[in-house]
Amino acid sequence: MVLRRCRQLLRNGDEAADACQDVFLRLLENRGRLYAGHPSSLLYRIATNVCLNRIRDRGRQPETPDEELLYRIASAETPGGGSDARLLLDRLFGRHPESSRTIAVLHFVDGLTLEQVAVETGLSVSGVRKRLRRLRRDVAEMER
Amino acid sequence: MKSDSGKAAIPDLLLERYRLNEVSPAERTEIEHRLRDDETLRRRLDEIERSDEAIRAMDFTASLAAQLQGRAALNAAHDRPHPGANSGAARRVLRWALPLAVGVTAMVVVVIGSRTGSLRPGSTGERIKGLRPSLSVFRQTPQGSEALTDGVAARPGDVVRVAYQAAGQSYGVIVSIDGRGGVTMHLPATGREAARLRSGDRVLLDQAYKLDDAPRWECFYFVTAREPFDMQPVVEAAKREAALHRTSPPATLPLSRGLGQSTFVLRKEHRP
Repeated sequence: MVLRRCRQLLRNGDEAADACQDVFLRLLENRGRLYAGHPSSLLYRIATNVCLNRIRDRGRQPETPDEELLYRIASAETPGGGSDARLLLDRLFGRHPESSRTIAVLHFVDGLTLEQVAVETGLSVSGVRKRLRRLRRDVAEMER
Repeated sequence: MKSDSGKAAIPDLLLERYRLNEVSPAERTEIEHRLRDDETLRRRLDEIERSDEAIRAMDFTASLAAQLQGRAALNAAHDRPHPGANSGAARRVLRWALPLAVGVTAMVVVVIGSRTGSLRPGSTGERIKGLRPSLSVFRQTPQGSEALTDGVAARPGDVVRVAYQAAGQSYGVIVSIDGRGGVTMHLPATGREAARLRSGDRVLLDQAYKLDDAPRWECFYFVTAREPFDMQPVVEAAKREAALHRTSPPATLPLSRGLGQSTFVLRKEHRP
């Protein structure tokens, strides 16, 4: 499941295998959290985050509309997402916890409904909606 | 995203969870209903199966395990003065976690709760960071008793006794379900509220328990919280899940997120 998720997001077999290794290292570091139900959901979210970091750090322009969407989400929260947007990204840093990006991928890329995203992330539906609204607004600001 | 049936498509994550036996009864019913009519959904499920087979065929988990153990050992050496304890824990996590890299059988997922909950150094009795509530099961023998390991085979007539480790949690319920759909309360035996847990490395329940001839498995669930909670939702969830799962036990009971869970599975073997 984890390797499949990494392949789906990264579209590169070797990079996906590396990312898979990162996922399980993160898992080892946070093994206590697996106490929560649905360990597969946690792994799926860790894999999503690991892949988003890699997409952000690739340093090349996305080639397809799908890649573009992922790249924009991946770059929306952390500094270093692109030098031209550095100032805005610095401002964004800290405003969105890491899970906002996961929420965005689950909703915009994977097609989960707001209710399903809420269940997966343990947030309320209104909490998910707020996070997405803020993320969308900040991405739009970034592109001005 | 729409499916053949015109309804909203079932996301990949939900399909993955369905295969891992981690969906709620309502989700399972919905997916199985849709699978009957939705060719696209059946194809997607088939693709996941084929993908798993392909990944298994390339022996990905073996190489991943080797690489991870190396990196975990390096990290442990870097982070801790006694790396042996940490890499041991890492190996225990890896033992069950790696199959998830390619998709797993329900049985492997079932043991996650108790294996993550049993991260403790073996010889010193010293607790390590990240210790979680866990269950232990002991079987009566002519000489006394033996500790059973999670997933081990047991037989009808075996007399077992359950113990728990609260690991900082204050209230708990222990319930088991079997392969015939039976539900047994172990802690508390009566009442409506979760039992107050005792601290200690291993707290034995007062009552021993004789395994009946229910087939396939007996799975114990240890549900815990820091605050008191109503045990009725736990009992109801166990009954619902017991009615739904006959071939393998559910990985967890569908309960509110504020409650923690760990499990212990006995595989049932019948004497010839």
